[in-house]
Amino acid sequence: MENNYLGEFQEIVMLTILVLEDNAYGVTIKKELKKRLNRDCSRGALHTALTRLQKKGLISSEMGGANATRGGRRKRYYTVTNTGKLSLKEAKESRDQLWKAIPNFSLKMV
Amino acid sequence: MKKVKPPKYFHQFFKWFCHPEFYEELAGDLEEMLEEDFVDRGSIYARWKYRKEVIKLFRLSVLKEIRFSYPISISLDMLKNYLKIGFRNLKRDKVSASINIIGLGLGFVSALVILLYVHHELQVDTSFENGDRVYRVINDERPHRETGRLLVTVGPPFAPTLAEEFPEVEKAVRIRYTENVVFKSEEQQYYENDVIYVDKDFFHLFSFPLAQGDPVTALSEPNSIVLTPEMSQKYFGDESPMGKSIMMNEEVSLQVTGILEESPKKTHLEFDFLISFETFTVPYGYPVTLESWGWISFHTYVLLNQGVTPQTVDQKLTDFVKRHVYTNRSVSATYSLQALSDVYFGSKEMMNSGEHKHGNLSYTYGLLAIAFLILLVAGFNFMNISTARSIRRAREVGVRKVIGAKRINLITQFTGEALAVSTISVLFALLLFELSRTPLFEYLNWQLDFKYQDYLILIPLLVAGTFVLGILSAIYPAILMSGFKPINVLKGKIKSGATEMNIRKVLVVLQFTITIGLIVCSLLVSQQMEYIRNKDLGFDREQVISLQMRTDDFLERYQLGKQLFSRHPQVLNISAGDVINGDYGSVPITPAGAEEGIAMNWMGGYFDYCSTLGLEILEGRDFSISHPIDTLTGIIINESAQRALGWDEAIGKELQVNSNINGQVIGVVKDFHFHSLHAPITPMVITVPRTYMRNIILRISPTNDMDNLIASLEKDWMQIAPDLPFHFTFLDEDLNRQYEKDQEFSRLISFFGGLAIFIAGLGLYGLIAIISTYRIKEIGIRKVLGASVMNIYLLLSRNFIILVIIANLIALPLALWVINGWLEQFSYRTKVHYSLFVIAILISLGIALASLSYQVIKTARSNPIKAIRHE
Repeated sequence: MENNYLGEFQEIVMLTILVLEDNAYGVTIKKELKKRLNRDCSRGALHTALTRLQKKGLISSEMGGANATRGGRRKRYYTVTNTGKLSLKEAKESRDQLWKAIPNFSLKMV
Repeated sequence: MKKVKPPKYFHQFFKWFCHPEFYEELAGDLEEMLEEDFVDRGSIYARWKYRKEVIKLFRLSVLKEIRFSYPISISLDMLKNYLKIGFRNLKRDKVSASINIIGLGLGFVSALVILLYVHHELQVDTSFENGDRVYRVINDERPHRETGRLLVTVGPPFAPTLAEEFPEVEKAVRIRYTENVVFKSEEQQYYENDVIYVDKDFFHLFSFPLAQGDPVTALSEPNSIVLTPEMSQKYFGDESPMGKSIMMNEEVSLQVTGILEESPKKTHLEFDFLISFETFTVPYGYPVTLESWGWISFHTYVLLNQGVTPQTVDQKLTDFVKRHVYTNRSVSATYSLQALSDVYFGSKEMMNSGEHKHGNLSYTYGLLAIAFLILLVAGFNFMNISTARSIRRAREVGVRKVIGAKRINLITQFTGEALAVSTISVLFALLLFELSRTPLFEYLNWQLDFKYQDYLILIPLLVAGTFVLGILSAIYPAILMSGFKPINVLKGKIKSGATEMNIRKVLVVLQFTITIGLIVCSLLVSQQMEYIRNKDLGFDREQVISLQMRTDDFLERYQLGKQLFSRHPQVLNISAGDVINGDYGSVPITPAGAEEGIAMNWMGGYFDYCSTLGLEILEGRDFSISHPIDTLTGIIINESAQRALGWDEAIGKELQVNSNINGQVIGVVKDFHFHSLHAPITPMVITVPRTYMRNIILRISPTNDMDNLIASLEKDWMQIAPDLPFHFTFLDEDLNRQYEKDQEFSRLISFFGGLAIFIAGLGLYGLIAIISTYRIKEIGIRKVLGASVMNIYLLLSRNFIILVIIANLIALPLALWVINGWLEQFSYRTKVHYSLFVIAILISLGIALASLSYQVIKTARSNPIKAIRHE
């Protein structure tokens, strides 16, 4: 089903949001991706992924309070919805299934 | 703590394109990142990073919606859809798309080339600082007597006296053209023709920029010369010639006092060398001085003071000439000022104007019309192909309408697509132009120096052209398509309607009318050119060579030359004198006993002049060595002169030529065309010149080994005049030079005519390709029922052939009417033969059939089963 299909980048973004708990907004997500996965992404690319996820109902967002450090502009905090968590689990399960199905010797480095 | 500011323009740009819903968070994030980067890596890095992020944010998910005012509001999604569908359509029908693009592209290229040329022509004489205050003195004798002339020259004292007496005149400058000048620097010597003497204020009127030298003083001293950079290179190589000397005619040493920044291009003045007027001396044998008001050979330009109208000066000129020119006789010419801006295009009929360059306004506008017609042909292609294809898009229109598209939305969509196509073709045209510019200009023989700045003039025109052409050619198909009734369309009931067919027919007829018109015109123009080449001019223009020899001891050297040259069996006759090149003086001719002379052209020739040039002697004889007195009193006149003098018998009658030669008529020659065929034959007298002659003229027998003959003549030359350059011309080449503008026009009209034919043929090919696919089922059924390939061929092409014939019927009389106007500027012109029409009809039918046949035969031969099954 197309709606539930999770892109690899989208999956990582959702996981990162979960890692950040209640401090997930643009800059922190971007930094976390860099820190944990050494992965550079532009704010623009991130924005596209976030809007798509939100459209699918996998994450939700709300504006936070104002802060003097960013020119007084508010942040948009993201949280993973229940649907989102479900599809993350599904994604993990389907992978685990595949992992389990691999015969042991296949993974040995040749 | 120090603060860092976001880059201003990038921030503004971001604010402009960002959807307001996201602006706050994204701007906040950007600023937070900026500050962190600033703390970590400094402001340069941080700001660079900021810019990069802004550019990467410029994406669909961030952009705000584009809103037009009602009723056309296109959401981003719709725009995306339009683009997608548009490109799919282009891709689906590659043939039509490429025909549209190539046709429009070629149309644009022709328009570009022609606009460039026209722009260049209209720019002539517009770049001088004080140009709007510069006028030329002209005088018109025609109101005063029947044989009067319109002259662009006046006597040498005119300019200085004018400047002295008229407070309105700020400066006055004389220009004296001269040719056959030998210049000699240390190593180099050549004959030069574009040499003019000018008064010291020349640069005041004509502000040619100087690369070296001072424009105020460069021409104030005697024996000063100013060169173009090309001539500086030619005579002095890479060294600076400033202050160096150059010998003129082995007589005068001139000092180089200035170098122009570039050769004069956008001006009617034609020169390579400017010599200070103080250097000028009256040529040997001329019965005049620099104080002779009657020596009408000096172009005189004045610079009027600010705010003075030329009319006030015109009025005062009547009194001025009464006091100076016509001191003891009645005024016989009207003097007036001609604005500099009129000189280039408005001097055609004027005498002595042949010394400078001319434009031809009717050619210029004719070319503009051709550019317009070619664009029209290309635009019609576009309309035709779009309407023919509209059926393919009928379903799309139906679905869009059902979903809620308004008519205006559809029109916008289709017009937008057309604009996209015409934009692509403009880009294609620019590429094509850039690639083909040099060879094309070479082929057209244009001395245009194209600069990249010229694109700046062309680009706004091109953008405007893209819009006008795109919208005009799209609007009809757009209205047509948007008018489809959704119910009918979706039921599949749409057929190409009657009106649509009719309009298509009209367009095809118009296209072919234009094309045939251009074919006929170019055929007739080249026929006239052919006529000019072959017309019996009253003398034998083939096999005549003239050798330039500019020297004071011409006659002695000529005797030696005659001896040497006559040893060659190929050399039939030898004489000396003027060559026939359309450039002669005009002098008063007074028969004995008469008071007032009649103006006639005057040529100079030596013994055996007529037989060498091949002039036919009707009565009397040629100048002959057996009558040495001929050099003093011999006069030969042409038939027209005999008529003008009203003589039944001319031989032996006494004439005074130019107040200094008194002689007798010894011969009458048949009228010959010493002017170009633009002008009628006028009265002409020939005498042995009192000045130095400049040319040795040889008539040679037809030979296959011209190179060898020339080589041996050159060997003789080394004995005759080793100090002078060996420079020869053929008479027929000299003559052809008079038709340069005509030949240019002839080349242009055949080139662009050919292009128009090609574009029209391309359009027909595209049209038939679409139409035959619509009729593929019908053809299939016909074939199953027994129609032959020939039947089908006739069926499909018949309609078009009829249209082409109709186009012929419209085009032929129209073209004839237009071209007759052109022919009228020749006094002698070719007759329009009916075979021309046959040729035009055959060419147009041939083009039509050639474009039709491939598709039609392909369709006619296709397998009927496939066609009937086709869906």
